[in-house]
Amino acid sequence: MNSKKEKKHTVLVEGPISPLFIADSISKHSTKTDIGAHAIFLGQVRSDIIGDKKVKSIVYSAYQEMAELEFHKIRENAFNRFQLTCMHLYHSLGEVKAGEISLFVFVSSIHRADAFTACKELVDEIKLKVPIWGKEMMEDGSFVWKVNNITTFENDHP
Amino acid sequence: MPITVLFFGPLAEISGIDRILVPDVSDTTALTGYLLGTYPLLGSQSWKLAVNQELCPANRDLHDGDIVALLSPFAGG
Repeated sequence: MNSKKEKKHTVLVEGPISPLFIADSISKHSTKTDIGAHAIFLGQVRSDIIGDKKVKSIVYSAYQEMAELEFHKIRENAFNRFQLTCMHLYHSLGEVKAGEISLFVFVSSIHRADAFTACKELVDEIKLKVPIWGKEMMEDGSFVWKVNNITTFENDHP
Repeated sequence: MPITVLFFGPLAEISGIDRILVPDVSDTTALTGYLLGTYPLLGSQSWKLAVNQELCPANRDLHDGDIVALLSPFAGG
C-alpha cells in the first residue's frame, strides 16, 4: 500500500473522501518511524453563491485513462524533486456535496520542508494538468461548469 | 482511417455526443476543421486536443486507431 514509486496507484475514487478514511491513512504511518513530517491538503466543496443561486454539490467527471496517467507523472516528478518517504493522492469522481472532501493529498518526509513544498506543488499540478471537470449543481436543480483560478487554456484549437 | 474522437465535460454537453468516429483526416488541423464544421458551437469554447492521452499543442499527423480527446479547461480539486 505504501510502496513508493514503481507501483501504479488508482487516484480517482467514487464519491466523497471520508474523514475516517483520512484518519485511517494517517494511522497506517505509525510503523514508519523514519517519517518526521506529514503534510496534508484537503480540498472541500464550497457552497459558492453564483448569481443568486447556491452550490449544493459538485459532480466530477474525468478522462479517466489520461487522468491516471497524469497523476502518475505528477507523482513521479514530486518523488524526483523532493525527499519524500511516501505519497498518497485521491480525487473524487461523481457527486460530492458542499462541505465534503473531494481532494486528499498526503505526503510524508523526514523533515517538514520537503513535505510542505511538495504538498503545495502537488495540489497546483493536479489543478493544472489533470483532465477533471466539475459541474456545480445548484439548489434549484440548475448547474454551471466549475472554472478553476489557474486556467491556462487560451482559445487555440490546434 | 477512422479516428476516435472523445468529448468531455462541457464539450460533450455542447456537441450532444461523447464519442464519434471520423474517417479520412490526416492530421489534427484537418480534424479541428472537421469538428468546427460539424459542431459549430465548439468554436465559441476554449479547448485543447489530446492524442492518445497526450496534450497536443501543435499540428500532428493522425494514424489509424488514434484516440483524440477534446478537453475543456481542467477544473479538478
